[in-house]
Amino acid sequence: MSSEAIAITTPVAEVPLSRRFGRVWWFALVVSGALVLLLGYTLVSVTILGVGIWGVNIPFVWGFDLINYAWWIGIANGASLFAAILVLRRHDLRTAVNRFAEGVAFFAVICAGIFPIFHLGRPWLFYWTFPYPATYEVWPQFRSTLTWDFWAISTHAIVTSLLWYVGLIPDLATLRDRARRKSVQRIYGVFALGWRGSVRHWAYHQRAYRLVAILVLPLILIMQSTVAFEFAVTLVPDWHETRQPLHFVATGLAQGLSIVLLVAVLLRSGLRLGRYIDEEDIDLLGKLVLTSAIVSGYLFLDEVIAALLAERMAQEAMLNRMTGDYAGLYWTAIVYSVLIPQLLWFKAARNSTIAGVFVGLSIGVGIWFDRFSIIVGGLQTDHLPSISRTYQPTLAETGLFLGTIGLFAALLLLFVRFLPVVSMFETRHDEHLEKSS
Amino acid sequence: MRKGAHFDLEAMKARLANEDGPRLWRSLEELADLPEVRRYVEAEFPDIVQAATIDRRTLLRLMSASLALGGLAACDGGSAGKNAPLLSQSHTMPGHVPGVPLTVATSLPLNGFGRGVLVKVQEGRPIKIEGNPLHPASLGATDVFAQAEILSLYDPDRSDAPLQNGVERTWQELTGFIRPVRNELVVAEGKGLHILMPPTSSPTLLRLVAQARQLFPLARWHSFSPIDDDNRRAAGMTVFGHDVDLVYDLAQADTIVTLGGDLFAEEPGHLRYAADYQARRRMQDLALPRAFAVESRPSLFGARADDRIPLRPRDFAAFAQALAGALETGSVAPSDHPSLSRIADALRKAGPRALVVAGREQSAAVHALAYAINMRLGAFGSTIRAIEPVRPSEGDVGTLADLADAIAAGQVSHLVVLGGNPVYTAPADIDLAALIHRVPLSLHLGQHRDETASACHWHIPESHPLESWGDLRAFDGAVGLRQPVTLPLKPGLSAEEFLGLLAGQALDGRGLVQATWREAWGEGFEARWARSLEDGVMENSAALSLDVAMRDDWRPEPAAPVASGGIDVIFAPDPSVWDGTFANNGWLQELPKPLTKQAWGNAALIAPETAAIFGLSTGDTVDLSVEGRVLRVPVWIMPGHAPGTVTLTLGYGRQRAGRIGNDIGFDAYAIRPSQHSWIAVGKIRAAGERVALVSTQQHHSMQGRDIVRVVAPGQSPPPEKEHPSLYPDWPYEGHAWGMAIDLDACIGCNACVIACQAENNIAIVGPEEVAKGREMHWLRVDRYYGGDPASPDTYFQPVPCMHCEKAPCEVVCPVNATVHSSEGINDMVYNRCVGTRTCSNNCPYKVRRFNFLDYQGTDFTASSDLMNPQVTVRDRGVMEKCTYCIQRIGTARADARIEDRPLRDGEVVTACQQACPTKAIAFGDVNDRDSAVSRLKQDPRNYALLGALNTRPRTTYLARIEQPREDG
Amino acid sequence: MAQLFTPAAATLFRVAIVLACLGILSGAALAYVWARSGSTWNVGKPAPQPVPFRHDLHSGSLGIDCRYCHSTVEHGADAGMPSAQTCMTCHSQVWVGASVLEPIRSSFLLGQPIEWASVHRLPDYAYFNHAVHVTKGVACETCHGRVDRMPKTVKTQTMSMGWCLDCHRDPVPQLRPQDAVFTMGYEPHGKNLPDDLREFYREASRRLTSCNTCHR
Repeated sequence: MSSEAIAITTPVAEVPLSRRFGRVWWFALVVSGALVLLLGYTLVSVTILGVGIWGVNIPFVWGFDLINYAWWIGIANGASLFAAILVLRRHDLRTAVNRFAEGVAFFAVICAGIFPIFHLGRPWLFYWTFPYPATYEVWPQFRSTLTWDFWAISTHAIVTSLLWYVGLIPDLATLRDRARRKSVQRIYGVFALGWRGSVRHWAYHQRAYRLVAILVLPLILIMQSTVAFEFAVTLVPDWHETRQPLHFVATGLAQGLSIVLLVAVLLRSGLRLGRYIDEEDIDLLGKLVLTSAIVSGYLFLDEVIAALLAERMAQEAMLNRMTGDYAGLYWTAIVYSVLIPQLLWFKAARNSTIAGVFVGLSIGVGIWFDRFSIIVGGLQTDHLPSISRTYQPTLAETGLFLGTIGLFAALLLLFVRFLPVVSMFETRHDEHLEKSS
Repeated sequence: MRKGAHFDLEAMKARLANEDGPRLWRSLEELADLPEVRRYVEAEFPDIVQAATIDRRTLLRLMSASLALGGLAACDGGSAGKNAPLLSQSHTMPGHVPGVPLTVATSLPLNGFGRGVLVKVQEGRPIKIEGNPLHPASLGATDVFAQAEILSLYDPDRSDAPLQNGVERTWQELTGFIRPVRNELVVAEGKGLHILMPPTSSPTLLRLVAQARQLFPLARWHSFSPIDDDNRRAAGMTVFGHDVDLVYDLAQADTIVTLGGDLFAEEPGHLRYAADYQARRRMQDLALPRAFAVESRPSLFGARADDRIPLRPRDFAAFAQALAGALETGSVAPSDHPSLSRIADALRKAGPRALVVAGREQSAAVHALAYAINMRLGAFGSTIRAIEPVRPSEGDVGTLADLADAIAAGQVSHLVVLGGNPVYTAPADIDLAALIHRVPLSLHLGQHRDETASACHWHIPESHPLESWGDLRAFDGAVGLRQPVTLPLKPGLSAEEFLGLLAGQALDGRGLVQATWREAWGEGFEARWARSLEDGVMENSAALSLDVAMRDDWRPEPAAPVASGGIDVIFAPDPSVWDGTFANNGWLQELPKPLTKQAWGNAALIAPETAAIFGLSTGDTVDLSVEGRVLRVPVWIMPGHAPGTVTLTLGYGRQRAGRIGNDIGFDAYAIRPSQHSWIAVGKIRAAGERVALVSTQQHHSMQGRDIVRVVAPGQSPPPEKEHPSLYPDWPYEGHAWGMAIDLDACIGCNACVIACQAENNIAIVGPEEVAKGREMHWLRVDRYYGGDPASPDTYFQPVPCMHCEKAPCEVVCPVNATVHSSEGINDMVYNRCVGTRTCSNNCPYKVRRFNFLDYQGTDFTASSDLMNPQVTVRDRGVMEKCTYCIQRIGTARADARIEDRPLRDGEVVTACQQACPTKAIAFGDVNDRDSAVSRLKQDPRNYALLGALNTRPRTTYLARIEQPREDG
Repeated sequence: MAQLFTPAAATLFRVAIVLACLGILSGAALAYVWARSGSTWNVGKPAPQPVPFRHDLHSGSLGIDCRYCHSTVEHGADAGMPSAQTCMTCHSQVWVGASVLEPIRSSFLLGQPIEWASVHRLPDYAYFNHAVHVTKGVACETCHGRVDRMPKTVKTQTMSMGWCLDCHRDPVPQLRPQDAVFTMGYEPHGKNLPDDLREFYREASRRLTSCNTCHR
């Protein structure tokens, strides 16, 4: 390996290898750690007492549980789809954002995975959705979208983790070689799977990496559609729409990109990696986010048109979401996920860290409100007026949500601490190309 | 009490040998009350007796076991744990098959009148109450109170030991104290002794009262019930010069006019009246009857009437007079009420087949006019008949006010309160608690340690009607015997037994009742007694009609000047807790009231326009002042309520009802004046507070969707068009169960809801959970309003699981916990359910209920002893719903298979169907074209709820019939 | 620079991976077998009983009919346990003084029930009806085994839901003519049955496998 090649990536490698780390990082870790504890508490209490400690009722059998599930899945999908495309298209941006895009996706899946299990009335029996030869000879119901969901989310977890790990292997090797202490060397060494950077290794690695990336593409569509189907197949007037999958996929993408942008600008300023995540990268990312926001905007419009074309109940339901008790959610969603991102039309905004953080967050929040509006606002209008009620989230639910955010943050922080946040081998590769040209 | 005879187990067993069915229970009950039996058991199983101080049932079980009946009480299927032992009984019980329940006929009191019931007794534990088809006041149906009585029987708050000034005493101490007191009184010929008891129809009680009167000639007797018929009886005296009860025959009536009250909910014969009315509507050859309800507060009868006329209480006298006048002269003054002529015409047209009924709350003048109108129309003898009072007041019986005066005058040395809870139910101007404290010795017999118990020196536990012997007359005088259906769950005396002891009889409830009828029947006693016990009603014991004539000196008293200003206040019995008697009954507390759908509390009902005047919305509190007493109450805006009027239902705001009934709602007795105990004039002022009222239905309009369909007579709704389905049809070789609900018959009385709750071990969740929208009722009765809110049409629609042919819930359950059975039932498999709740999402009828928390382990949870062992008790996190009473289908099917014969139509009766007074619910095999349910489903009125969704529900509805108004 | 791992490390790593996979597979297989093994379902395990009752003597050697003691087996869901009185019909004559029969005598005298330990107890949510099975040609032996050879009463079948379903899916091979229901060691099953019964069951299997047949 040429000496300047080493020099190029040293700062990246130095991050995980440095013995001491910033106070800010420690502070952040403590905060998110506390939230993880909260998560544990809320999960234990809901398992012991039952979902009755949430605001759910009949007809609002689902509340924050499914809202947050759909939300996290959205982030995961958006991020991994983005990363996969970059890998496949060998886009310059990949050097900068792949690694943590993949990371974000993986961690989001972990957060999402919590909800489908713990929202059950009897969570300890969740494995009944898995087909195995039980002595009572009853099998899962394969027509149920919830069964599909079981497969979708487990596949999703496996593939995103693979995409992330496969990408990491060469860099783990680099860290192994650069590590100063034997123990650290060994740890990185084991995970590097004996990577020696031989041509064969590279050839295999490229194939594997692209293969997994290709797997991601259909998976994302399937995953999001499955989530959407859970609503679309029901007779709830507002949900009973074939457009749901499209809505979830597209808005999910916007959401994923926005979180990637958020993380990108934070890392860039936080870890002074300006050289690797440069102006252009952020600028490009900003444009992508803007585009996806416009697409979401189109889908919100489509939602209204679809309702207008649908039968009366669906129209009433849509109208109720826009003007009823839960109208606030709907409009917040539009403002945050469509209007605010329009800032990114301005180059200045695209290049400023503050703006990046602000827009990144606003889309995340906006889509969360959209899911809230769809699930709760949608459930409010039903075929029999007599059963219409209202839903109020409780502390237990909010705590659970914050807990998952804490878990996400904690994982991200550990990732930043112990692993290279920017793909070193890709960077080397690029710089090399530049040199040779 | 009784001399401790030497205890001889063998003799006792001998007595029990070759007895079975009801007679067995009789003997058991008899034995259970023997102190020596208790002593024996306690000696036999000392260790368990310690435990029994906490759980006395264990003791009673052991006792029954030791009386060779353990099998009836010990092993129980439903609530038995995993390692429940197999029990070998000590002695063989001929004819008893473990697990097969006994059915015992008895009667239940409500306001002194009897309703015949059949009690299902599982292994010695009463678990369900059904109507007695032979009994005139039931005809096989039940009201909510009868259904819920079984829960009251197991009420853990029932008093189980005598109290002296709040201190628990043994029965020995009690008798030790009472005996000398009684002897003194005998010597003093009862001077200073005053006895207060609610009016009763029981021949035995009345006989014992008469006996006691002979023994204590100087004693004074007082009668008091908060739900009194004084005005009605006063009118009888003035018009006929004779105290009578009136019995109506709605099957005969072409035109029915009610002036207030509620024929379908508050009359002693309400079940029968509802049944007759519907029977008449079903008669094909006769035109539909025309029902007018002139009323101030919406009633069940009003909801079902063709024409509701809201009228302020103060205007009733004038209205009745005008009506009488119109029928006399045939002319209607233009000043009169617009709908008067319409009503008058209808009455005149019907002639003798007309019926005018004035509600209990109306003044004597209004009742008198109603009598006069019926008399003039010749209705007596056709639609109405007069009988001797079913609850006669023998000799001179004072009122509560008389008692109050007597106490104030210091004439009362001994006061005995024989049942009831007068301290709570007394009018506001009689501070009975304070008065009782001035009595040297006061004694209360009651089931609960209630307000009266705490006011008296002594409290004696009264046994529950299902634990003791007695007899009751129905609204028409028919006599039903009351027999114990279980060993006493708590030790207690019945009023009969207490009076018996007072009159110097032995403590033998059965003996007392038998003595009454030996006297009455003379020879042939044994046979008649046995038959009456078995049937639950004595044949042709109904009272004979008297031919009454109007006193020729009677003239309608000139209408009193109508009070101006103020707001009319109506006091009414509550549809859930009646006069407060049922306040500690969780089923009834959680039952949404028929019209308001309010649960766990009461509210002051006001008309929308009244609310508008005071700027009130439901839940706002007002200060309501009547004769200077002020009560702060939350209002409820009630469409169809008369303007300028407030309705307060009684029975809430109890302080000593028990762990369930305390501090719920407000106590309307606190402002109820004794002079105008039903209708008073008060003032109302907005108090500016808000109270969260619990209700199970927030939206009251059908929002233009055809949910409850209405057709004119002879018409039928547009036929459903067949929608194609992607799912293949199910094959049904054998039965295919289905249900049809006739919305024309449903009066919204809620009997089906409680019956379902009792049959299917449905949990009580409590006010907080209901407020959150988590009530567990498998069957709900939706109530919709249509038309003008000032006087809207009211529609009821019972909604159980529809058991859809293309059930949306089935395809979305990931674990196959809800599946289609081979007979078309949508099975819910609790032990497979993981609780994703997605089935409820996909149910357009939202009839599925979820155990969000562990509802079987709360303060509200009913005793596991009344659980139906045939129905699984659901765990936390499990979905549940109506199963079409699958356990009843299973049992019937098993019996048929064992006897190797096909199931007959009508052999499977669901709990809701059985309880319904108007037979609105039909259930059976829709594969059998001639089954009752099939015939209904072939009726052109038959339609599917939300049929357009193509769920193809097995439960279908028959459109309600409404005849166009005849405006004249 | 110095090698981090020994040359063997790679091989070791591969082996570890293979072993892990094998471990998972064999674990699953083991679970599969364990869940179906009789011992898991207490097959053949006697329970401590108040009285050392021997079916092999009463039913086997003495040839007492099942229904003499389990008298309601043809009429109700419960087969019914014999009352102490029933026992005493004989044991007031034979084994009068035997100390092992003390519980029966005291029960008869004091009237407390005798508590036997149930070896065939089904879960609360499973509703089984003896009468229907017995009257339709399902023999005692089919579920309870050769009790006439049991010194101590034990389960001979797992009584798992799968085991019930096996028969409910196709009952005929398990059925006997009515007169052979209470005999032990009858062979062969599913023969000499009235044709209408066969016909009936050909159609009934869908109903017999409906959840509500056993769960309410």
